[in-house]
Amino acid sequence: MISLSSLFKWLTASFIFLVGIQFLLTFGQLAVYLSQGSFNSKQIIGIRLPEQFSDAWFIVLVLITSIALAYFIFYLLKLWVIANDFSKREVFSKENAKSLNSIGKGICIFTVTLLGIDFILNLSYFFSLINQEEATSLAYTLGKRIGYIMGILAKWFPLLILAIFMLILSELIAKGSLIKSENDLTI
Amino acid sequence: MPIIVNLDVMLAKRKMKSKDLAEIIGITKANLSILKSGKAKAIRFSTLEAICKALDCQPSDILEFQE
Repeated sequence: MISLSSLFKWLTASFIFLVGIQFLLTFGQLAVYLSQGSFNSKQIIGIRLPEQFSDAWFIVLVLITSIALAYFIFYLLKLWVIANDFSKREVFSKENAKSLNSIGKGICIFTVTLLGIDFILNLSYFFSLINQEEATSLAYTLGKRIGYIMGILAKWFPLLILAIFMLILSELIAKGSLIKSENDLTI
Repeated sequence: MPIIVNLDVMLAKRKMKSKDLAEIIGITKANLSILKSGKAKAIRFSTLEAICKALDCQPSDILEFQE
């Protein structure tokens, strides 16, 4: 039977692979632009932008998103190193606690950055909701707007929970390493 | 730490080697070295009892409190 630590290792590796593909898809758009002089479709992290969106701003967005994704991959690689340590049963060490803490903070920053980008990209749609003909009542418009914001938050919330979980885990491992060192130095 | 381990002094008094003491009390040489160097954070009563038996002394002969 596959052990939990190996499962964690493989899950981390799959996550790195998936985020890597997303990075290539995002950054690859710049290569398409450089070779063709125009974008096939303006799309970032699954959000399709209107055709009239300026090329210069789109390039800036692609660069920011690519940097955020590269930053995320860097922290996932750190997590993979920890997953390897876990499978070797060297769980409670100060280094693991420090790494998990920085991973948690890194994922928090990544999530907030991409949440901001997602929100900014969808602002035009958000404001257009009020002008739609079907939005006849104030309650309908308010409900639709709240639902829309909740939709964006729900997309990024799992990552934020993961980050908080990592921060809690890092504190537990730090305390565990202290207890372990005391136990190791009890003769 | 203000607790000083005087194991070296007792070993010298009893003319016993660290290796022999480690064998008698059933701990590794590395652990005895940790104890002698003062790096140990705690000592079990069973270990202390074994040391006292092996060196024929009191716990106060091995452990000392200094401000």
